[in-house]
Amino acid sequence: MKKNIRKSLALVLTTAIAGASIAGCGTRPESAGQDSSAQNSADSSAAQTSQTGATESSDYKVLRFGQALSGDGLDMQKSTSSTSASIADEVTESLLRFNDDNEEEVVLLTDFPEISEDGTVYSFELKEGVYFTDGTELTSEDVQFTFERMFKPETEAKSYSYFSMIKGADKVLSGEADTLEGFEVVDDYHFTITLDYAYAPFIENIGTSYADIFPKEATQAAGDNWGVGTNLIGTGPYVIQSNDDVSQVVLVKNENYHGGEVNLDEIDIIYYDDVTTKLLAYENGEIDLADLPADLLGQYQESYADQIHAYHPLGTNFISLNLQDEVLSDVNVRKAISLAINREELVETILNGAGIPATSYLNNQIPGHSDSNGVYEYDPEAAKALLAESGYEDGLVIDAEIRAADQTLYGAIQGYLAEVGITLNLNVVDNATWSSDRAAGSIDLTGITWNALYADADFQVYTYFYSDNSDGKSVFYHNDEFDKLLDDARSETDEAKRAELYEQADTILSLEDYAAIPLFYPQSQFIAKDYVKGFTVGNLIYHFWYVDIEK
Amino acid sequence: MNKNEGYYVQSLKILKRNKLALVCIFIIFFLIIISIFAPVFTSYDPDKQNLSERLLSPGSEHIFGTDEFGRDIFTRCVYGCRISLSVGIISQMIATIIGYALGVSAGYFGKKTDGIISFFIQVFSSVPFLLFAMALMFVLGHGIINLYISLGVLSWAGTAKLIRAKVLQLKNQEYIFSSRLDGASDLHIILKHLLPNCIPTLIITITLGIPSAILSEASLSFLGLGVQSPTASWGSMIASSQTYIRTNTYYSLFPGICIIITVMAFHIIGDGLRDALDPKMRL
Repeated sequence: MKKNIRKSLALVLTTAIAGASIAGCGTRPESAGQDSSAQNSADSSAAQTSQTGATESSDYKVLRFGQALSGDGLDMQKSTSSTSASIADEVTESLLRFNDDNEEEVVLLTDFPEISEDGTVYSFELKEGVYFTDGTELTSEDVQFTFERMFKPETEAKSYSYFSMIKGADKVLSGEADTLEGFEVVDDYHFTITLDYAYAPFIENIGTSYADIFPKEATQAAGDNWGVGTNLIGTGPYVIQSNDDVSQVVLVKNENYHGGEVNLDEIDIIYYDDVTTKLLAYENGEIDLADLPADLLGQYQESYADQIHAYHPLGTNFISLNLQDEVLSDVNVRKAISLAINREELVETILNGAGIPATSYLNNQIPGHSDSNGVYEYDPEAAKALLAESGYEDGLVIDAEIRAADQTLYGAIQGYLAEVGITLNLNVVDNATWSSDRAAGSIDLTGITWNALYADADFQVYTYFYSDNSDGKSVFYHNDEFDKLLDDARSETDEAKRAELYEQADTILSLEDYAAIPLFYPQSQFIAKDYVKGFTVGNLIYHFWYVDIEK
Repeated sequence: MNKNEGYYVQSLKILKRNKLALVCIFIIFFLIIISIFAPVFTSYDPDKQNLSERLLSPGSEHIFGTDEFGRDIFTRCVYGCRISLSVGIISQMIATIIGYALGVSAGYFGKKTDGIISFFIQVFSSVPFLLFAMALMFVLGHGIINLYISLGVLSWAGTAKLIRAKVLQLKNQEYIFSSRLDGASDLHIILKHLLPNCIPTLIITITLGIPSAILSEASLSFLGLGVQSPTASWGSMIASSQTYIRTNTYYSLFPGICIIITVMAFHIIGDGLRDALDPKMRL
């Protein structure tokens, strides 16, 4: 009897002690963590000094950045993930690039290319004396190799469609030809690219990460392992020092960077699968910079107001549906899903106001966007009526596969759908599983934010919903009228007319067919320690070209 | 002590002297009532979201406050009790049936049967439980039924080990011999003679097994491998409350307290029963 009381007391005590020690772990690293990190950077700087013979070890600047692992590797021909791009863009460069004001600027060229009058021939001149970090010089041949590689079937590139208007691309894609007819090397520093038809956004597409230029020899030598581990070499300001593809990538300064010296000596990109863990690491001083999802904004905005910075990416958050699914192929069901969701309430509560409720698919900053429809209607009764019309009076079940980051948002959507009789089964998977399931076409319903890399509708619409592209995204949207509008818009050079075509296409996509269920245009935030200087984000991809650390 | 009283009557007397265990029995009884009549105890729907009332602190409307979807936390704790108790009890039923069947077979038949079963007992008791349970949930998929199965299938080894030892001790007793000489079948002996003698052992293993099953359910749900959202479970509530631990501490506190109370109550009852049912205590 007494023994029992003593036993249970002991249990309570042990629990309390365990609890206290856990709490202790949570708070302690605030100071200790920073110390040890300072030591880490001192250690690595010592290592660096011995390697490169740098003079001052105390000035060694390390930025520690926390983000999710895309699971797609760092080869931007094979990855469409902005988290891959954040790393790849520091190492490899495209001919042109977008700065953080979303303006295009020259990188590997002497100037913007000259475009022929009919808009089909682009003439380029490369900067001389640009070297890849393996010591080889950048020549027209590397550019040619890069473009040919992205079309070759064995590469299994995901984003070739941004460039498939290059003459002869279809032949390389089908395996008929090995060389790209429309790419002509004039000499080591001059080349021309000929298009099948005038395509206005081409100049912008070659400024994206998908057109990062790779060194021919090194890429061929790496084969399938290009983009894995340290197998990514470019002309960029940083070099991959180590990369285990799971937990951390370490980038160090490229001492011979053709664009001049960058401020940071080292960037540690640390992967966190769980956002809460990542933000705890931030609070503990283990990382200096991280993005802050909207659903957590409420927890941090008071105590970290000075460290949180908002920006508006060119994207739309929407529910992506598999139109081959028996239930979801019914437009009434899709419309009912849309009617069941109160977007204004969703943004106000779950997102803590960090977003704009959607009025159609196209992001509000992109030409072709229309507000005329107003925010999507919220009418659960109408949704029920539509479901009844299709014979689902007794409710229906839909399986969703979502990523951990979308859990709260989709918890709320599950609640909305339950009100109209739709049971949404949420299957939460890691990012890598999600990517491969989506590519395999096996996801029925998921959530995604699709971002344009620059403010052009072609990027946001064509890349996701054009028949061929939607097949690789578990969507399978096939509408000839819609496809035709996109084709017409691509070759239209008059900006106003183009915008009008995209508005029509968007109406079909998101207001008639409900092939996508747009929810909101997101606002993004990042959280950065005050000693991180000069960090801005133009449109989702994090770039560290101008960042400095002043402690 | 009156030696003429029956074994269980005596045990009950001993148990009655253990006031703490009695309180715990009352608590568990109360929790069972709550689970069965959950809708009587609360006027809210556990899964109905109300975003305009999200993340409220405890107050008169919502005595435990509300979660990130505006659902009443008290209601969800009450419904979570159903999950926890049912997982604890049903998975232990499964484990006990498997454990008894295998334990008795090993002890009673001996030789090769014993060898094989003992080998599996060793295997199942040496594999890290939670890891194995996670793997099994991955294969079977989410859902309460799969929780019953995976926790039941994985926790029989302890029971089997004890029963085997008990049977080894019993099978050479004279009354078993005489029963066998009378021509009783093996099944008859196992069910009529061995089972009654094993019941005290089974009662103890079940009462001590339930809390560990409850904890395993909470851990699996915490890891997102347990019940399907939006179903309320204490473990999944703690998992989703992590995000809000800075601003809404109560949210994670209440399901945590529920787990602690339930698990402790079962442990104390288990200890009490062991004291009461163990003949060595009756001197």
